[in-house]
Amino acid sequence: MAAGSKFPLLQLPHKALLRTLRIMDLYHILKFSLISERCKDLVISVQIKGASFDVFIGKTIKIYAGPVGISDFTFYSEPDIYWGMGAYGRKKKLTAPQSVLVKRSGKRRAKKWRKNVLTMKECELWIELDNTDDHHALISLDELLLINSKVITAENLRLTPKQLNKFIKLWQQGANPRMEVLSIYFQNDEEGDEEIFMKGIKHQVIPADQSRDFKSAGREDILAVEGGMDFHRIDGVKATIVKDSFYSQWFMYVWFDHCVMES
Amino acid sequence: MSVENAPVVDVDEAAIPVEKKMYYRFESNDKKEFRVSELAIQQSETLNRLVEAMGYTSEDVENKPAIAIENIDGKTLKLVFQWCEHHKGEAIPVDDGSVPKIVEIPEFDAKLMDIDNGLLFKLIWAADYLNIVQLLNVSCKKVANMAQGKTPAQLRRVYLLPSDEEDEAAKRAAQEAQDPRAREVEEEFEERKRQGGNSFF
Repeated sequence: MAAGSKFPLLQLPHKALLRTLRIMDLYHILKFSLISERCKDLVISVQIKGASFDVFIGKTIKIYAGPVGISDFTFYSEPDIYWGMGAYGRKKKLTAPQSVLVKRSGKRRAKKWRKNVLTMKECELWIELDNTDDHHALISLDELLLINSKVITAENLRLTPKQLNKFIKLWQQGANPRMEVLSIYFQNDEEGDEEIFMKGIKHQVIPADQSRDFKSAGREDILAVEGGMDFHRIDGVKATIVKDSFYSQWFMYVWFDHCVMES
Repeated sequence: MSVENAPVVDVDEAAIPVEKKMYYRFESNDKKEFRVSELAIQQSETLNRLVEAMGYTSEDVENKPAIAIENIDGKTLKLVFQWCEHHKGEAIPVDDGSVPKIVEIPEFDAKLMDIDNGLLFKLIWAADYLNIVQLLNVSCKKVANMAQGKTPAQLRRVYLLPSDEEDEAAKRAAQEAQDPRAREVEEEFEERKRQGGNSFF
């Protein structure tokens, strides 16, 4: 076959086309899905199954997929960092974290965002922000509110206790509706005073010796949630905030029915 | 083409049991004839069912006309039957639905598929039509391998993938071709808008 020759992939019989996609490795399937809406729909129809799907966004994007054989690859490093279509058809540069979290209802569901939605619908999406060059401007409250991931792990997050208080109140009103687990690491023990953190939030303190089992969608392991403070969303969904002073870390667990395990 | 002059696919005589040594005759859409062993035919679900349904004897095979395969040309069919003869007797793989699907291309298949993309395209269509699972696997693998090391922009060029805008334009063109009146109505509407009319009707 001549180098650089072309092949009319979409003119193959549909089953052969899907077979070809299934034979590609995940890295190329992902690239293929980004070419057009039609390509994305084709990849969706392949029905790739995965238990976990982690996205790390920094100067490069790294994607770790669960039990589908891919452990690590770097995706779209400079200069090929654009990912979607911006206004007037211009290529839009990827900016963390909004570019990954666009499937929330509201204004950002406009068509220009749609290319940024990862196509692996069967997978759970994890997002970690990895921007080691600037530890102090990683994520704002607004950005945190835009994340539509079920599991949010934010390292070196800079939010004041008041901002976190606001985040919890907004969650109670319906923000981040899919979120099941939020873990926030603080630098320099800046986790804040619980009185500020929970100010104005009706809550119940759970004794530290009381353990409840929690299982997030897409994860095999069961987490033991010990103690913490329970509070409720406006629709009655319960959440618990747990402080880990040793690691300067807060966890927020949302007790959806599928997350509740018999202890 | 006479049977005597038909391009006979190479056969490993020693590998074929005596009782299985029955050869069927097939004819491509450009009238090229091939003799294919019964065992090799089993690689194709479509042909296997066909010959079973026909219930030919050895005499029938010689005396009756060759079985016509009307939508595959001789060049493609020759590759298909060469592949079937080489892999005769091998188990037909069962699809477990895994992604990514792991497929290795054996050396023989790699040489067989050292062809231009036009012929590879026809080969996949033929393998799909004749339902030859493993030939589909290796030929699709060859196509999948074209993605190696390519950026999305390069993938677009290699696989001739239209952009969203091109897809939209093609969709509009198809709709208009179906209903030429729609275009006229649209133009009339635009004209009335230019003239400042508030109502189309």
